[in-house]
Amino acid sequence: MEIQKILVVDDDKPISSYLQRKFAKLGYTVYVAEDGEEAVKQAFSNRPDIILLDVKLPKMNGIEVCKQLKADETTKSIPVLMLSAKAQSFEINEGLEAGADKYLCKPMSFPDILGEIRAYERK
Amino acid sequence: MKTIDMVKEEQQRRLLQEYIFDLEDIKEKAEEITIAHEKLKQSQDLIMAVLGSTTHGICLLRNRTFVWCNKAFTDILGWELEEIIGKTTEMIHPHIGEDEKSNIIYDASHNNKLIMHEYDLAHKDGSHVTCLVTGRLFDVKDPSRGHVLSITDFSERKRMEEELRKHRNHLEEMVKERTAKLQTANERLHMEINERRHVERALKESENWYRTIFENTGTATVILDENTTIILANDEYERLSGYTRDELESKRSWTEFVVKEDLNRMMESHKQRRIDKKDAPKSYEFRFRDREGHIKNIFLTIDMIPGTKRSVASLLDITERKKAEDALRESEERFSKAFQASPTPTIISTITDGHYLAVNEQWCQMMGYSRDELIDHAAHELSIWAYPEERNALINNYAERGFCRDELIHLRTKSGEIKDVLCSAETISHKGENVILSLFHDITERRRMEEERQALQERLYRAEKMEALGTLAGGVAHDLNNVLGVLVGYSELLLLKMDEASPIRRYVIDIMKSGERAAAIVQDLLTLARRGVQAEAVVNLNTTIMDYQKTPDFKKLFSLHPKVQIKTSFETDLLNIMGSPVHLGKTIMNLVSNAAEAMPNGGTLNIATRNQYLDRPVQGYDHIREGDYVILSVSDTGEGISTPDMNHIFEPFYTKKVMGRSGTGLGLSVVWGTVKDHNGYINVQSQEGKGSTFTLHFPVTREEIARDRISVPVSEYMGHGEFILVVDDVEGQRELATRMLMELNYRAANVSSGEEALEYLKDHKADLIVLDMIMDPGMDGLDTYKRISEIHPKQKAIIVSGFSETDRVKKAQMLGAGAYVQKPYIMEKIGLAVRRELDS
Repeated sequence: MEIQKILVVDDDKPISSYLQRKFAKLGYTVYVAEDGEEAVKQAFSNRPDIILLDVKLPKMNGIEVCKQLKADETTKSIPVLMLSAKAQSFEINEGLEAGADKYLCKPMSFPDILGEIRAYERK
Repeated sequence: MKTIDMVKEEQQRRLLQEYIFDLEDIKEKAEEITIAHEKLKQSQDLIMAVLGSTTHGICLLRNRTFVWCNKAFTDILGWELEEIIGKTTEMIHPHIGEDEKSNIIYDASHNNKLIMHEYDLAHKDGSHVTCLVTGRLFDVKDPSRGHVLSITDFSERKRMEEELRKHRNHLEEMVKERTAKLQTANERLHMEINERRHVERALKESENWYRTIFENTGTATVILDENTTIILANDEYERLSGYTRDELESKRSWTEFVVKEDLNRMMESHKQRRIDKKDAPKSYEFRFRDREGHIKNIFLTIDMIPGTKRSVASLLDITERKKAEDALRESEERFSKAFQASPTPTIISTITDGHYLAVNEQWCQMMGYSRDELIDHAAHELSIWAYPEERNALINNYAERGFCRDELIHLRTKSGEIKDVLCSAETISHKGENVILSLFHDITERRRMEEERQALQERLYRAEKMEALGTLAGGVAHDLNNVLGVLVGYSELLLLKMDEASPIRRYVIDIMKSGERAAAIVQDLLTLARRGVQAEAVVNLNTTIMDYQKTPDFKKLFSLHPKVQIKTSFETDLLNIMGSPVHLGKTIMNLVSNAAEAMPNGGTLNIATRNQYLDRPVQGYDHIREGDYVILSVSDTGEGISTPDMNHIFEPFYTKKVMGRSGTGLGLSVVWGTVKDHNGYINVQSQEGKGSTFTLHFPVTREEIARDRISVPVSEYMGHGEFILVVDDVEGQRELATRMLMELNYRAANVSSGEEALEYLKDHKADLIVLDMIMDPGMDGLDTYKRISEIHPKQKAIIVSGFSETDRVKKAQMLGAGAYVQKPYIMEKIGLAVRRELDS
């Protein structure tokens, strides 16, 4: 599949802006959401090709965001990559059960993150 | 439930994620900065190479104070870098305040136009350097940042090349230094990410800085790639080529701007420079073709940018200079050709000491010197000035007026001849030096001709005057003769009828004597009128003089002048003339009595005769034609005749003597008339206080006097049919000799030149040759005799000549030729010489 649009969801500003700059530099169109509600709204309006989703978010957490997106016909096919500081196995399970396609534990280098994105491009 | 540790771990993970991203970001920025520094370094290398390669001095001014300058700038003006930096422009332009024009260049800050002026800038050593100065704002938006000045010194292109080389080394050091500094900055940037913006600004400014300098060097400057593409070009290059930068950079090759004839040579240099730049010329001239096809002469300075295959070139348009140079050269060539080809003798000499710098062919011809003998010598060294005082006068005159026109001077040629020359001179600039150009006009010949014409006119005038007087005298004499006939006749009759004792008989006798005296005067007048002179007798002047010496007149004359000593010198073989013995006697008497009377206090009176052959006309009181002459000369050591009198002495009644004391006032008139009636000539030489000489030329006659002569019997020199060849270039002479010899029973033939004689003798044999010594043109007698001796050894010959015995005559005699006979000769003389030579 072809990936052109990436939605980055993180309330930590240095992280989201860094990711936005790095992806933009590589030619992707990047959308940023800083809370759960904003994330859902953007997922519907911008129809990203992939979503990089933090779990600990204001207003609505990442698990809830993932569940809503996976429950809707129009958004359920969008791969959701969870990127979270929560690294306990139950937390990982919770994310996967909510419908996340991949659960990544912080800290991750940008090349590693890019690697995961590229993996979907090759599918 | 989550433990505290789990919460801590989650927080740590979150922080770590931020750190990782920060680190990544720093790393990335650091890489960017490294690249930026690399770019900056390249840019600086490039610009420094440009500034280093240029022969133009470049500086950055802020408030008229030097902030930076390149080495060319300091080198042109002789100052050290540290002496200039921080100083104001007054240092190189001391009169800046006084000159509004000067201010413009330093206050270029008010507009963005390139200002260009020529100035004399002050060198450290006090001298002046003429420079083309251009100025432009460093930053158009911010005049406070100062402006860039560029100065160009045309006159010292070569010296600057050498200094450029040094300068480049210096720049390399500067670049190294800067690189080191930048490295330090790099490290700092690695640590302090926030400073990157500042660095970027510095980079941008630095680039602007160098770009501005590149743009404002005042000369067209380009950077060229190995494949001949123009990578960078400045405004001046746009102007020069007619293309915009966008049309040039990376799009055109420099080869498009070079004329075909120069391209190969430049392409060779282009390649060679990239192999070893030492082998390629650093600067040269070539012809540039711009967009419109105009050809421009360009002075190019080029060098490699260190560490690259690129070169940087400065192009200076010297078309106008070249044109001026060519025009000057052509003008000098034209002058030189005109100078050499001029038909007017012309020289160029130094003002200070008059040494010849150049002389033309005409001058050499006129003076008889070769060019090498003249150049670098002065006229006074070669004694060319005939009168040095003329030189001094001319120099003074020249110094006063700065030129001279048609001044008459006298110059001595190499052969010693003095020439009358008109000289015009003035100062000209020749090869950058003030020299004197002098033109000459040789008027020697013209003056000689004028003098000759003057003399001719005088003679003509004299002859006409004598003619007119003669006619007058003749008319008077004729009437007077009738009157006197009556007077004398009746006086005689009266005496016959008168008583012997009559007291009035005495008066009648006086009347008759006076009448007779008057008749004598009339007779003289008739001589002057040239009527009644019969020049038909054969006369020998020696006899005439001796006859006169026996007369009572002569004896009476010398009893009156006892202190006068008389000497005679007669040519023994004096030739005869045709004439009237009576008139010739009167002539001698008049000349002798005049001579005696000219010496009241005594002196010597000389009477001489001689034969003379004139082979060319003689200019004197009279114009005497060539030919054989008998000459009578009467000279005294008396008072002499003054120059004004000289023109009148032959006029009747023009006398200096006291009237009535002696003579009739017609003495010299009678002489004149007599000589003219004898087809002769008169020459008078006189010097006041020293005496006078009257020389009379009478043409000879070959006729013999009927009376007996004391001479050798003809039988002694008669021929016996021997064959004689006469060689003489003068027809009359050779006919005369031939006839004389035939008369003497010789067989004779004649030829008119030595060459003909040789031709004749190839198949003839002569018993003797009568050989003229002087023949013109062709061989003379000596050469002819030499050649004849080759065909006929021991050929007998005698030599005749109108001149006295010369070395050439003696040489011929040493070779075997016999006697020498001087012309004119009589039959006896030549007959005896021939006879004796044949019998020897």
